Amino acid sequence: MMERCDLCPAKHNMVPASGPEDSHVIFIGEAPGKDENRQGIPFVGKTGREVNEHYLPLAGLRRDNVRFTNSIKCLPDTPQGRLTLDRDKDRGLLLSCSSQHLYSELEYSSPSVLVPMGVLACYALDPDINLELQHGIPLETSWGTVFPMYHPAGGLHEPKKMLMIRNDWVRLSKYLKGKLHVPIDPYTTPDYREIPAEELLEWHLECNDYSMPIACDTEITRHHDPFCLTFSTSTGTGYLIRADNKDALEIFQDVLDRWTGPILFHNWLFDQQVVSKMGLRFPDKRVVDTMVRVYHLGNLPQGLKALAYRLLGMKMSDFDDLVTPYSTPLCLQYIRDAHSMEWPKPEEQMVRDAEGQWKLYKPQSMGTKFKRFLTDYSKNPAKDIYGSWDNWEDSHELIESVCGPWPGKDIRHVPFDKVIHYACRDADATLRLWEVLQRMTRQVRRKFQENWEDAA
Amino acid sequence: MPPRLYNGVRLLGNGPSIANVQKIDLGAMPMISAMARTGLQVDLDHFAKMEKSLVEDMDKITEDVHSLTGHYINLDSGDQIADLLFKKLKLTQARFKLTKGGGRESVEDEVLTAIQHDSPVVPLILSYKEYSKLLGTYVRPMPRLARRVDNMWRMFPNFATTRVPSGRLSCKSPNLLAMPTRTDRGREIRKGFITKAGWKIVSVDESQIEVRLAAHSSGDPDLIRVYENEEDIYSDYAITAFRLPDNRFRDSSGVWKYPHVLKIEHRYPSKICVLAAIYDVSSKGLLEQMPVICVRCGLESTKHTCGRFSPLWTEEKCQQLLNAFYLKYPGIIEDRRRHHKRARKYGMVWDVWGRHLHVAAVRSVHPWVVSAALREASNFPYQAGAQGTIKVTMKMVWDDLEEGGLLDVIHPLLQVH
Repeated sequence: MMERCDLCPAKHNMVPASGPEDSHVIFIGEAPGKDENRQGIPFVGKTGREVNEHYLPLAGLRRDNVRFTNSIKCLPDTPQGRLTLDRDKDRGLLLSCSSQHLYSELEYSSPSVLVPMGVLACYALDPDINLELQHGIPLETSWGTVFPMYHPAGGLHEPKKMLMIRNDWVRLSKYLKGKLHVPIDPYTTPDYREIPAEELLEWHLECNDYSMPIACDTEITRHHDPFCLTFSTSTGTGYLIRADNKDALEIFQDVLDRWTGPILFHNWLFDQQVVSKMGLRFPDKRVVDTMVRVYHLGNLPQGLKALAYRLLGMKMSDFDDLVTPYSTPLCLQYIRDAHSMEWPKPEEQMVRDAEGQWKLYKPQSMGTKFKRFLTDYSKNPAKDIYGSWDNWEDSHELIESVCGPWPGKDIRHVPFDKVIHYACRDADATLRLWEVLQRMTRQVRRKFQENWEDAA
Repeated sequence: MPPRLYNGVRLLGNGPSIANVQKIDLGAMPMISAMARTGLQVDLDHFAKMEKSLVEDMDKITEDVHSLTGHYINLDSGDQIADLLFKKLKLTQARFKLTKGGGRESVEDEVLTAIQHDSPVVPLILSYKEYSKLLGTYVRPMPRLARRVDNMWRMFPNFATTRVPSGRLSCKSPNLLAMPTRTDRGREIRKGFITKAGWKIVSVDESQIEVRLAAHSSGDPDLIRVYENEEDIYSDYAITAFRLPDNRFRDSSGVWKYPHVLKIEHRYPSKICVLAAIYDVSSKGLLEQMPVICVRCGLESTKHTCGRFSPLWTEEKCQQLLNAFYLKYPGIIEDRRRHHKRARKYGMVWDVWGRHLHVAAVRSVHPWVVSAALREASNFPYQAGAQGTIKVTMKMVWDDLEEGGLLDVIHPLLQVH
């Protein structure tokens, strides 16, 4: 008899794991649904049927031979049994139930591969798993090898996701057979740096091959002004030119004018506006947008970070992760300063209530809003300062007229050495991606040509 | 191998082709880039005036809902709308749907559209939601989104070319490609986009492009004949669907005239039905798109006067319309079967240009998932085919403008599919 965890609502049956205890693969779902609650076996409802008859055969497995369990053992007491990691209560229940049951189950059966399916299951095993980035890729964690996957129900609710889910199951099959190739970033200490005008000129003079690919990228400030341009012509390297370095940009323009190879951008529609503000003219016919190339393949994520991680093994930081630690203290100080000022009382308004009666509505003054924010923030430092600022949209003009421009998330707040690494890595990743995409496109074209006369 | 049409692009149809699609997308890029750079001039005063009148209209709708139901509710509140419709007025959803959190019945647009024929309050609420959306998406944010360039307020659309599998463009902040055009208020938004004195905004359309593509792809002889004779497919079908006398003739300028086909009563429903039929929409789906007209007084539900609303269009009538279409143009059904077969065999479908779409969900064990995937699979070739045609045209037009040195006087602004 299983004991319920401390936070268990204890309203539904507990569903134990099913399948052989000595199975080398264990699949971990999120929580039982209504069918599972009724039958007392995990994955027996609609999703279970999809897993048993569609996905497991893709991985070369049979339900009888593998073990299935859930992170939470009973149907959650929420509308339609839905849980989200955004809610503290749900997260608490997940960890409480997993600690009580799942972890001991895993310790006891010690499978060689753990397959958490869905964000909740991944979070229960390791909160650092980023499912969007790492699905279908084996990871080493304190639990051993974990092979995270999207939840199979996702394909039923959103059929477009089924391609990705199927691919992950095929990858699992390859992994189990030892045939899965997981890329590794060969450049542990890449050469990323700012290039001053003199050095760029030297590079330009020494360059004897303008026909090779050159990958470029741009960064902008909060107000959409250009901040820098980065480029890379050799994998594992990247150079940064500041947007205000006119001499260097002039030399770079000369490089562009001579360039005969492909000029790579990832999302050219965005970057072209930035480079045009920098005064650079890129020859349209030479520009290749790697994002469009990915789009034509039709079965890959389009974001550069996800592509670089999945196809090249490159770890790249997120803009938010880079900027937030430096911008948040400035924004917090801005609100503290604003709080110490006098703010006018907003006009009272008459509004109609649900019964149709008119009543007086007294909006809060900005002073009160700042005070409330700071009180909340002192209790919960994770409070979203940028979200709060967005909520005060109607008063932005007033606040900025008194306190000056809102600092917001801005790359200019970040120490320059960190910006260099972040910005150059995008250009480097685009260059490395190009080679892989060329290869993949050739493979697809060959496959099409084998099947269809018209295909090319 | 079919001959090249323009810029190396071929009209294929017998298989997917990445190279052909790359040429199409690359060809359209200069015009799309120019549209993103040029932006649209906006009249901020117009939007300020519109904000005032929209707010007044929304207040009036609140009053109208009160006079119809006896309840004052906050129409911005989903909870209150759900309470009014499903508890107080005891309406039922066409397809049961809860909110994402699962707390109550959903009152999303698609849910309300499905029951708009059931009570005159529903179209009022939909109008309120439309106004609220216009206010929040276009009217209020416009001053923030516009930038002052050369003494003019301009708005620069954020296009993306890789978000929609069919090759259509997408746009955000705001989505200028989804501006409502069928309603008066929607059209009013368009008036806020202006030009410099002496310039004109010109709208150019590729006539019935998706139905043309359906005719080409399906090879249905009757459908092809309509286009070869330069007739109007919607009027042609209206004559069959509504059993009208067929007195069609060509006037002196060569344009076909259909004396018995009335624009609102016949041609418009026929147009909705033709598009619904080629996109495999069910009778229920078609009913949602049909105008909500009271059969007693002949007026729209928001304006009807007879006191007892009775809808003109029912699911049964819609099914009859669809049946009539498939009987007249059976090639469409055949073509759909062909795409379904491809989807099941290869896990993907493609259009006449070779653009392909993966439809992995056809491998599901659940029939409802498979049928949704097959619907997507059979719609894709027409949507993508039409978009490919538009993109090839964009390249041709761009090259003509460039060669003719006309890019200083003609500025492409938007491509709305």
